[in-house]
Amino acid sequence: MNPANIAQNPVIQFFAWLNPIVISWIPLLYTLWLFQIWRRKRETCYIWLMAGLGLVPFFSTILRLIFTHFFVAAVASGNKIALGYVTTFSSGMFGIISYGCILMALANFAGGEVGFWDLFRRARGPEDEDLNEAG
Amino acid sequence: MSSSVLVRLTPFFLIAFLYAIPLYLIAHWGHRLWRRTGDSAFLWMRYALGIVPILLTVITVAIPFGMTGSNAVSNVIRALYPSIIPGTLGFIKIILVIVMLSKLGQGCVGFRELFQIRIPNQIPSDGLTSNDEGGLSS
Repeated sequence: MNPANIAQNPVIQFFAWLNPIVISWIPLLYTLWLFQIWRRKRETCYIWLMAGLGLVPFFSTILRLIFTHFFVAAVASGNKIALGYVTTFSSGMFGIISYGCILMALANFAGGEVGFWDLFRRARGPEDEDLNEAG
Repeated sequence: MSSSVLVRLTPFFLIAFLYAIPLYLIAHWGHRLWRRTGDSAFLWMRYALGIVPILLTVITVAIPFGMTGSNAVSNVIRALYPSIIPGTLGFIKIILVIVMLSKLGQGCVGFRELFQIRIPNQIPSDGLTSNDEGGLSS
């Protein structure tokens, strides 16, 4: 059994199409949840998280669903390099946008208490100890 | 390892490394926020959006290079690994994110509340609901 035969197997093709359809509901659930939290709290961080966890992965999944046809064709033709690059590009591009949105959300959480540059300061600063004692 | 194999592997490891940087930042940021605020939502965020995706990335990249054989079993595993291994870790991640979302914003929106048609208005900034206020006043 070689990879080309496996890719043309109807069961594999069925799951290749079903998988993104099922998975696309999850970012929609996250979007709805974060939108509800934002409606109640009105903090920007939830909008960023909604984009990073909800909208961007949703559109990424839909596009991947469309490109599934090309993935299967690439495997069937034995063009593994094309498959590898198309997969990593489509996942990677949306992944980077998604990470950017999540990092923006983290920068705005808790009133922006932990900024980007704070991450590179010593882990146990006096500020942390004060807050831990207070907590 | 021949040079052609190295050339073939380099983009995959480079992408895994580039992916791991923001994931590590997310995990670190979640941990720092948890330490500062004591809000457990950030601890869940650390694992859901940081640690588990790092494991997922490493395993997804490592497995195809571990299966170098050309027999039928290796071919089947190579064909199915994108579904099985990331699927299992992805499922764990989904559960962790759902727990995280239920705790974000001091747990102001629970899982069941998502399916309620009527949504209460914005809660006050002190985190008390209208019922809590009533309870306090009485």
